[in-house]
Amino acid sequence: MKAPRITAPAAGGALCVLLTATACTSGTTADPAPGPRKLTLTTPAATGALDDVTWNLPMGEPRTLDSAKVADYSPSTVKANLCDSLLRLEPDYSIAPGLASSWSRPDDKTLVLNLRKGVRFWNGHPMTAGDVVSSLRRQGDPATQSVNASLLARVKTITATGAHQVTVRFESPDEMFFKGLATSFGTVNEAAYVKKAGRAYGSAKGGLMCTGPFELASWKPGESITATRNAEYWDTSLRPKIKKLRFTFITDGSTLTSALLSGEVDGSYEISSAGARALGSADVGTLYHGPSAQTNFIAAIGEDSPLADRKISEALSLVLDRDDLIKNVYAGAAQKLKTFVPPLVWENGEAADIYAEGYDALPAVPGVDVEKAEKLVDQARTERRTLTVAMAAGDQQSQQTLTFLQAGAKRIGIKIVIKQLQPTQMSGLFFDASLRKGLDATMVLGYVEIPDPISYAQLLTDPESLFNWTKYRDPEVTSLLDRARAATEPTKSARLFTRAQQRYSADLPVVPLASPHERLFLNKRLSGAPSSFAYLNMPWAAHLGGTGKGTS
Amino acid sequence: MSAYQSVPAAGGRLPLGRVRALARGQGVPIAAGTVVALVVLAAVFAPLLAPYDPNAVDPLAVSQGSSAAHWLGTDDTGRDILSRLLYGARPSLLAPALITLTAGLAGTALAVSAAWLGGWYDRVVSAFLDLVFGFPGLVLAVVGAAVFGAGLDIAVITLSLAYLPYIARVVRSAALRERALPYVSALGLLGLSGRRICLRHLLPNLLPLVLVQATTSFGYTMLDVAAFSFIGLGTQPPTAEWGLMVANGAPGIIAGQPEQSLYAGLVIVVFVIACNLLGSGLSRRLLGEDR
Repeated sequence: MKAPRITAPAAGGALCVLLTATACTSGTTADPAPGPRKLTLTTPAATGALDDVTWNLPMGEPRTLDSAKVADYSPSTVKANLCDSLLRLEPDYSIAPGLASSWSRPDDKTLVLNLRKGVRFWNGHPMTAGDVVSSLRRQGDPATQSVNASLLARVKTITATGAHQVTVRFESPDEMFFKGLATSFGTVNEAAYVKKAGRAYGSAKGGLMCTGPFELASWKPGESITATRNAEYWDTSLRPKIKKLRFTFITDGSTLTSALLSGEVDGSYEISSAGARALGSADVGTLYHGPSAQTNFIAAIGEDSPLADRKISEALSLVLDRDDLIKNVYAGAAQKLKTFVPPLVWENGEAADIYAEGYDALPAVPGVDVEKAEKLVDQARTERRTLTVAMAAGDQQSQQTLTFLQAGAKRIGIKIVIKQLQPTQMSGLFFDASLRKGLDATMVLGYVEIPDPISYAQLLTDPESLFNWTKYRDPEVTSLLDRARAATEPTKSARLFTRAQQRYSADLPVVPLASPHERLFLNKRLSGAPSSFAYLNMPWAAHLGGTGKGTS
Repeated sequence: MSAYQSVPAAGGRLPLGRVRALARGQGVPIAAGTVVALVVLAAVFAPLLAPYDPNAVDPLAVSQGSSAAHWLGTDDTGRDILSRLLYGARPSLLAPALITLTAGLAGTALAVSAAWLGGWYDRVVSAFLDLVFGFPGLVLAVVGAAVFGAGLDIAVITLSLAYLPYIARVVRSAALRERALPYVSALGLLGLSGRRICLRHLLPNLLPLVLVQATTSFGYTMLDVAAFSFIGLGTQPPTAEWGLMVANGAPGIIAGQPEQSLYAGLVIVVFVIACNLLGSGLSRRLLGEDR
């Protein structure tokens, strides 16, 4: 519920919200001391075909599948299998060719994309350079209300310069545009279909027209979405092994766990900690843990929030035992973070060693030090010692975390008031300032989609960002990140970013908690799906297939 | 004399033999009353009875089963479930008590005045009660929370309104019957004012009915308050409250850690059943009818 569970995807600079009885008492204890998890990027390759698979979307039914508006777990999970992007994200968060087979940069302000030949939409029409131009341009049209609009901020022109070539010219260099092509921003939709469907494009009524390995067959609102195999998929190595893929919308963790245990649902990403405890030892399937680009932190709201005072945020950080938190809240499936960008975002990309060096140079994740925390509270500028922190009602992870924080804060004279918000209020909080009134902080579960940490850092530090609620302003940080974004040389970009990271990490009123691992459950008759968080932007179901075990 | 005056007043002195006779065949209501009384006492004396601070977390004792240290185990942050159940009885009982009291007082006042005055006033009151009766209490409370924000105070206000018709409609019918009795006309002929007749004669005769309705409603209001907290709109963490405890423990059920939800749910069920059985017993004793 999940969280509240808040998610903050960074595609195009959008931060959005999400939201995560037995007959006798157990007399048992929880998994007491889960050791380090073995993380895998993917599951064993599938060996056979299957007629149908039922997959669950634990965050609920998507509002839209229009790639211009997709910025949440559920729509991304579905859309990634229906619509291809110009670039493709790999399980290790590296970038590979997608509908663009190659690219070149004649100069810093020009990007030439060479399109793959022979690609057809589901209706048999060939994909053209015009479709690519139209798909990118419509995201800059205010009428589209695209979550990716900011990625077009530095674009001067996008033109078809050949039957299979598109050229993008920039006002100023922007590497984020290129990396963003690996997310929903780079999705290619058929221009004629989009025009005909109008505002209904991507909805149950308007449908979709893409080139992906699965075709949207039906969408019964409130019930399910069904996708069928695209037998003519251009990537012959990824032609689906599943004929029919049905998505269900079970949001209750217990119900989902029961459905997975009974075989009613074959698989799901984003398994909760409680669900993992039950599914971890189940013989009906396997629970996989993968690396993740998700990040959990507490963000201050408003300049007058006590948490906006660096002394208070540091003091709270010092009363929170993250080892206990990972053990008890995440059932061991998380890693401590020094900052709010998880290493998966950069650790397998270019200049990874520079990013790693920058991360290592950050102060260590603090252990519990109540005495120091008390001193910090005494030194704080603010007189307020009560903090109202929002969380989504029903989000067990957030509630557990805040309960531990409450107890710790009480020891240093700070009172934490927990305010549970309903999912719509929680998601609205990120975009509607009136919903943030009376709140001093909120739990955030965000994720980084673009395989580059700059976009996420800018969300929280740029004075113009919608999500910079404390009006954090450091001209040096802004300048460094802007220059890093413009640098086409990866090592230069990484160096500029790590310098900015060193500065804002020392000032930013954010309390990083942990980066939860990706949790995937597959029925024993299934295998092949990636277990990395990259699934959100890759055609994961095209990898899925049978194992020959269980009922086919 | 009215029909209700045939039963001794609740506060009247009863000889021991009469108490025994009263108790004879009343085993269920007495048992139910005992349960209610024990829960109320547990709430009052929670600080003396609870072995631990209900909000004291213990990261080293998370989700433990029953043990000598924690008779009912611990929750997902290591808090003692028994202590939270005992402290949780306070908001879990206080809110329904306030709702029942408010709805009982306001409902009786509206019902008696409508029955006495009649005419357009009675029609307006009846229409209002019918209108409110059309909204399920929980829906009204959720709407209230959406407008004014979450909290137990919102639950008390909105559910008091929602439960008004449950008491007022029944009392109004009884008051109309009572008003038609000859003794009321006689009192009027003696020169007593309407207010005096209502307060000194009508109302005392209606009190047993109000008591029965309030007792039964108390159980239902407790369910609604628990549901309100269950969906995150009532009591806010870390305050212990039974509905909130059921919600907090729910994810643990499937993971084999049902203690928190199970015990909190059990207490709610037992208490609500006890209220209903007590209401039925009182109805039989005071009104001579089954409810």
